[in-house]
Amino acid sequence: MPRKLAIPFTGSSTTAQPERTAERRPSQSKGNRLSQFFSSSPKSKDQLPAQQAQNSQASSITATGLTLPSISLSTAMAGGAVNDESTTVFQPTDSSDVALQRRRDAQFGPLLDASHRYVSMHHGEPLAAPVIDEPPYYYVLTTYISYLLLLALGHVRDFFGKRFSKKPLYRTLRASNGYAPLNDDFDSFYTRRLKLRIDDVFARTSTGVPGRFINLLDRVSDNFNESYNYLGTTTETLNMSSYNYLGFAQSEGPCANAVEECVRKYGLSFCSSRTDAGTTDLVCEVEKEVAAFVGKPDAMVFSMGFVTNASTFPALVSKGCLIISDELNHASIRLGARLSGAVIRSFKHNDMTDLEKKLREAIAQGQPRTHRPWKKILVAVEGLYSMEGTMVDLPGILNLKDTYKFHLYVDEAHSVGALGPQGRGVCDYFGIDPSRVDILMGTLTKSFGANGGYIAADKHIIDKLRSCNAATMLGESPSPAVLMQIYASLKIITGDLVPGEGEERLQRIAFNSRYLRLGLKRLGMIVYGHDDSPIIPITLYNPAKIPAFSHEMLKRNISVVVVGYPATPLISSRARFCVSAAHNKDDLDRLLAACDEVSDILQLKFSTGIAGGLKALPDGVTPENEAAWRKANGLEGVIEPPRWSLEDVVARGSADAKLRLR
Amino acid sequence: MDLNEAQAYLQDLGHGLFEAFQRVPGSAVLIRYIQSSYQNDPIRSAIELVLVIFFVRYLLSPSYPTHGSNYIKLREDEIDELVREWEPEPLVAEQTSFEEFESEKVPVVVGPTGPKVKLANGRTVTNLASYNFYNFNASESIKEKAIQTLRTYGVGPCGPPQFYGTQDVHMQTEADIASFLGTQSSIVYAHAFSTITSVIPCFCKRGDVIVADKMVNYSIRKGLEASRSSIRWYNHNDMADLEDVMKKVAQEQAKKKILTRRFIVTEGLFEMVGDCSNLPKLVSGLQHRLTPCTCINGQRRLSSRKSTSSVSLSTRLIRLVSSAVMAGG
Repeated sequence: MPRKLAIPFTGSSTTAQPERTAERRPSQSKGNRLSQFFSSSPKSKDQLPAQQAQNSQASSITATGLTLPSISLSTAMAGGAVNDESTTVFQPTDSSDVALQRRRDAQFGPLLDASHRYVSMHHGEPLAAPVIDEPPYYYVLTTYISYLLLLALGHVRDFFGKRFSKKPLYRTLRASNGYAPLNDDFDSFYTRRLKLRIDDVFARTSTGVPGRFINLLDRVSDNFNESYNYLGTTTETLNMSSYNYLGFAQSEGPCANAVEECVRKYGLSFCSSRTDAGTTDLVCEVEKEVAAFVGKPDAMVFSMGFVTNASTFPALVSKGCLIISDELNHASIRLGARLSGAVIRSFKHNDMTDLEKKLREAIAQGQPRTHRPWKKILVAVEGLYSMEGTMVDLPGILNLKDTYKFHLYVDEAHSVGALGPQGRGVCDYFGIDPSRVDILMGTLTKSFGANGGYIAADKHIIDKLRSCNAATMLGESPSPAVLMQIYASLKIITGDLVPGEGEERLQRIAFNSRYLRLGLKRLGMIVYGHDDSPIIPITLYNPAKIPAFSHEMLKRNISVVVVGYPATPLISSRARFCVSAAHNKDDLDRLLAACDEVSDILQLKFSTGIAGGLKALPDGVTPENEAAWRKANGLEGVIEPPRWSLEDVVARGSADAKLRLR
Repeated sequence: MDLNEAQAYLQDLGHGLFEAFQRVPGSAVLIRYIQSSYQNDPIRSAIELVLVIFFVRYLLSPSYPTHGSNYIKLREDEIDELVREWEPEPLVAEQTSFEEFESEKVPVVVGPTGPKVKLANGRTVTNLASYNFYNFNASESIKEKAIQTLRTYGVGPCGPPQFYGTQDVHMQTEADIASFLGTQSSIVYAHAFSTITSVIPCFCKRGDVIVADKMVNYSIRKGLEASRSSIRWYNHNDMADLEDVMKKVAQEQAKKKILTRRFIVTEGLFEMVGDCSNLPKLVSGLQHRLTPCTCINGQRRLSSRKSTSSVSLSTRLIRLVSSAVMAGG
């Protein structure tokens, strides 16, 4: 394969040099090196004072401020004119350095303190399931009553609406002219009667880069969310909603520069499927890079993450095979499994005992009716569950795998990039050799700021998949811009490009995740998920709190994702924060302050303390001798509900987040 | 001594429980009622107590069998042995020689695609394998537009459409496509191949009837499979056969009390054969109220891939949503 791909990077010759000479270093020292390197450029000279004026902490500026000019410099080299032009699309008034820096910071926040970093890794103890806290019965009861009321009202309105109303809403529910209704009223009941009421909190339209901040288009609805009128204004909100784990959603910087070069060279599409004429040097190179990154011999990339799952299961298993799937697996795995023709069974979420029971039963009983042994058993799990924030118990599964000889499929849609000391997903996090997992699937949409998905496995598996996976044979090849974004962001994470920046991103998201999680627990909210997971759901329970929470947060200029039934169990509707490396501690403190206020208004502080967020130990007591101290003071089993004040949470958080969370 | 203590403890416990029970309002009435209705007959009370326990157990047990009818109960050591003996097949079979041959023959293009492409083996060949109908891929103005978009929005939207992944460019693109096609609205998917596969199950559910052309492409087939509807096929582009099939469907459906949804699924320009579907005939058939049904027309090739991605983001390879759903004829 001709390695012509380096062209986009070598074109902006500034970045190529340090990658050879420098080992991986923390960005502090790297910043100094790069600053000498960049001082030849007039532009970066101008930017430094501007930034120093903005920030007062001199020590932190060298760490962050110099990482960022590296972005601006290469921007100027690659295509300054185009950049200015596109800037005017967004901010027509100001093109001074301050505005540029502000724009950059809105996409990727500067690191405030060098201590706000943490290495995401597992420390060897068996992965305990997170403790699920429950609110007082009052909340559970009112939640059920709320849903009952909603259902009853909905049915009453449907009953009369279908008979008497002339509204178009009911037209598709009625049979007319011999046509059966296009929608079953039962199928669409949830959408019409529950979701439509709060539809304005979903699918909020945004503009610009979904980085640290996201610009929402202001809209109002005067027909109860059936349609929206856009006011033509935008609101800049703190983005706690995008899956931008490593902060690669940027319109500037080495990635965007490489993509621009790539678009100029390759155009926008390969206009063909992989097996026709869509196999190019670029896609081959990206596949090689992805395989090396996740630690597998070979990989293939697809242009959509959902399709990756949906098309790979039918290629792997068929009639006579068994898929044992975690009950909370994503819809794409379910669709793929259903299309494959194999028998599907599920096990309780992350419950190894239940999985073992299911495996023993399956192997002992064989196929239903015929009792023939299964051809093969494929266990499908996700690395990080997007609604729960839990990680798969990979060591536990691999123990079972040795005994029961099943094949393992790990969907790392959320975990790749977001977990592990090198960002290589759950295997990296647990320190497990990736070769012990048969198939590693992941998406490139989330951590890499691109689009699509990949499958990584042994060479013979990938070779076979290439010739029998429908999406490879018939689906279009990923577009060049997307491929280059993947390539460039991978290079940054591994440290080949802009050494130190990838490491900084990885450590920032790990710190942010733990900091926010601990803070929310200490405020008294019920938080789901494992400590290191960047997905942080808090429970809301009552259905009316779903829109209320979203609106209250929007009032405070924070955009959050709220989810309810059917994405979650009926009663435990929740709000989800997706932490990013682009956030800094100030952003998280702002979020914590908002959560503190809002949860007082909405009565969300109902945790009992069993899931963490406990009071600080008195002086002289360490976590190790906590048990002895409790015994001496008669405090065994006494758990106080955590209700920290915001000041304490902020003051103690950054130190405590690096210890074992309690 | 121990025995005595235990007895005393039990007595205390029983006494305590009885007192606690008596403190419950209405307990005296309950005791009196039970005593009078059972006429102080302890044996009868005991039997009825057993019946009550049995009834509760029956209520709590699952209403369906937890195992299939031919479930064989095995001892743990037998299961262990079966587990040891079981040898699964490898995850994937060996590549067949045909597949190997095919994968070797896949051309590797170096550089951009176009009417002439350069291959990895150094040769420049004429490209008849891409759907690059208008060669928009080489258009500089589209590239400029794409770069502008990149500089405004970045590459990925980092989220599904329902969660802040919808951007104003998406809405603009959808509006443009809708006005281009003359429909009320449209929706853009990230992946052309999966569009129709996911659109069909949105409308067609279990129990519905789909009448499909025999030559529809692979992704339509997958969509039909995922919909769990009952599928009938008609011969490729054979309107007489379609009519026959529909008549049969109508006859079958007439016996049922509920009106089921019926769909015709066909392609605009057939990917596998290359001819167009007879849309005028299809639509007029619908208007004659032969059998009312909804027509999903996979307009895959009517819109070239390039023309759509040109009006939108470079990063999302967009092909038009391949369903023009004409509800209600």
